[in-house]
Amino acid sequence: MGDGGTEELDVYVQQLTACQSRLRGYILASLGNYANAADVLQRANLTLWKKAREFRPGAEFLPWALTITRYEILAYLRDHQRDRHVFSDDVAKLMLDAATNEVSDPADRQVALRKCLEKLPHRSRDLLWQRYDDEKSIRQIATETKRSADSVKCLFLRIRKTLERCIEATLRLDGT
Amino acid sequence: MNDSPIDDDGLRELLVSVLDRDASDAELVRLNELLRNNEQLRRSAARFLCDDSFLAEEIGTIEEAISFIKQSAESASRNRPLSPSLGGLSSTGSEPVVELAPKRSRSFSLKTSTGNRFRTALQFVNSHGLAIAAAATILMVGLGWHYAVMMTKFDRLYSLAAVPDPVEHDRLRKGARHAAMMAGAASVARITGLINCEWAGDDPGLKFGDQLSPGQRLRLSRGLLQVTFETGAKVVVEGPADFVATAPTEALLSHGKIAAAVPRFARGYTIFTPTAEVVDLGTEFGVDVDDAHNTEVHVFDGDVVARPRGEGAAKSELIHARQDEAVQFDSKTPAARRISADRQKFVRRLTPDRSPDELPQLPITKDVALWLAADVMPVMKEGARISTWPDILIGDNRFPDDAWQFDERLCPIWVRDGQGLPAVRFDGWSTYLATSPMATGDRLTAFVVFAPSPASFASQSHGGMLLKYGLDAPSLEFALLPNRFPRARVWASNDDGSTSNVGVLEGQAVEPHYPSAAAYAYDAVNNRAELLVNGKSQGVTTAPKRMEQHAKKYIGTHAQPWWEAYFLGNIYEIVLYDTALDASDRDRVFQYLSSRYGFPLND
Repeated sequence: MGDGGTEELDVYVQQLTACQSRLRGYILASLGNYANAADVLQRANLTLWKKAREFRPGAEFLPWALTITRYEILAYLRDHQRDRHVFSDDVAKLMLDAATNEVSDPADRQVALRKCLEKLPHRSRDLLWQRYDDEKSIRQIATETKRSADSVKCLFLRIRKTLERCIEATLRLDGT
Repeated sequence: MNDSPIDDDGLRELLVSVLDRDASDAELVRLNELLRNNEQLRRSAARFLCDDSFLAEEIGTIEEAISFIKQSAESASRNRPLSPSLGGLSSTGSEPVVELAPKRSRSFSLKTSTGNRFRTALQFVNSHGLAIAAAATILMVGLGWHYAVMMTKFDRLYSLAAVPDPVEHDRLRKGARHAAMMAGAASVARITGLINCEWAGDDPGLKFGDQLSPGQRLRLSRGLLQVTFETGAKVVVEGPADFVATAPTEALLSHGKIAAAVPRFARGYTIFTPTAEVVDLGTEFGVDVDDAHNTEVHVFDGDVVARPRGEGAAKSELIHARQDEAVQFDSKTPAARRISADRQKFVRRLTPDRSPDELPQLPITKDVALWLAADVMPVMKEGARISTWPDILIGDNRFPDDAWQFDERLCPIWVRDGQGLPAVRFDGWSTYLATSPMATGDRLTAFVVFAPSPASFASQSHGGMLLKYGLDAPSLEFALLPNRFPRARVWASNDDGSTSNVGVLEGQAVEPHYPSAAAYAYDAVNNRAELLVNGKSQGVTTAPKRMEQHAKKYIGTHAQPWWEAYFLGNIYEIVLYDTALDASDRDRVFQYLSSRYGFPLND
């Protein structure tokens, strides 16, 4: 980062904060575990911060951040190779490649998601809130709402599918 | 195991079970099988999991954003420095509080959604920061605002990387805060060695690799500290001493002893004392300032010019001191006087140089610019992280260009290979070392002894880098391609401003696991480049572009970390000559390396 002027630092901070959900998604896609993904994201952010001065102003930020995050993921897999992971090493690496394409998509999927969330019925939003804000498992939600886990899971997946269709439609619309 | 095909819905159902840790072993095995063999499913799974992250980010952030804006507005209305932190605000304004697990509210309105709290915070600072500064009519407020913004940036990022353990939390936070200050102010130097350091006053908590900001004062009561400036100048400070790294090219010594070694290209490096100003001309010298502020300058090698400071100094002439000469500046008179030089008075190296008899018998020591050997290290313990690979000083190699790694997670490790030979092990995706900037000319010969692993994570375009010169053209790349073919080339600038690779040569594949030696001779003066592997020429080509530069030399990686160019395997020895050795001298070096590492010559 040049001589590290405050303006450059500002831009760096802005870019790093703006790509948090992409980095988290990238990690989650290769680890398949919320807690481990949070762990690796912390490490990646720390490394990205330490390397702030190495970043060339004007260069694309996301590839830089993804490369460093990729190393953090590989380091995590290496350091925890005796632990049981969701994905085997080879599958985790294949998933990394697949996730790279997903998060590198220039279309702002998150903006589209925001628009689509507005359109969701209250009941659907409530379930998503329990899932993502209260960080509850399907089983926990089912217990609290006195429904079967299968029906909650089914509803949750249906909401997710609805959202995904909406996102695709929004992106198509925005792109035309 | 269920081998039946699966549709998208089935895959997602499985993924939800996995995320909830409800999946059985059989389901995990099946999921892996499915993803391993089906790219479409991998894409679908990746999208589902990435969207999961977007959802987690999107939901429940609104209240925090509103809270942030409210508190920031209150802060602005009170016309005092803004001190937002990531998860919340310190209303006292002095020390921003990092709230690691901010509470979320469910009472959100998607109509007012502003993304996430980080963006909101930034937008607010960006759009209102200037107005707040303008409203601050006194200097202190302005400075306070600047500090607060800097700390805001620090805290915002730090919070992203916050760790739960309180001790580690504090340690990292302190380090990150220090780094934050560096980033805004550009560091002038790094700590590259400490021996038994004790500090006068508050312990600055400095450790190997820490950066020094401009004007950072070091009050050492005892011990030895090595400071390496961004320019490549190295200073050994011997306690008790009071030393300030004021800029990349200058320092202030108020009291105590230092020994400075300055590469030729960094000449002009200046040490100020209360009674003298010492300007280096590319050399090694010592400065001693006593309690009465009398200054002695002793030149070990090369030349310095010096002059008195203080009353009457303007009328004084510059004094030129050469090798083995010394000058004293008295605090009571502006006139300087020559005294006997005393090399023994100063500690010039943290690790004492070894005598030639103790070193491997390198047959050619003329024009050596860098010599690293895994069996000449301060610490040779299996598995030890190598943060410093010391340059061996012999023959013409009189300036120590040690190779460093300041991040302990990125240090290669010291190992004995399958034959018991000492080596430095690089992991192929994160570890590397780099020298401080060092000068090399238009003619050079680089030898590297290495043993690759059978696998490589490096890209085909760059390969696993054995040795890489600097960041910009001209730059030399000496690498091992994934198929284990050594390749050397120089990336050079053309007259029209474009860049291209010249002197490109590729050698025969080398055996994995066993040491091989490769040499690349690039001679821009005679327009000739040659690559040799185990003593045998792999081809000759032209060397049409100049190579002279002063830059860091990277070992084990490309200078740009995002290139997948990390070397996986062992590196045993590197010898870099600042000349194009003739065939006879190259043969002698290969014979020496073959006798040490057992590879067959000319095979």
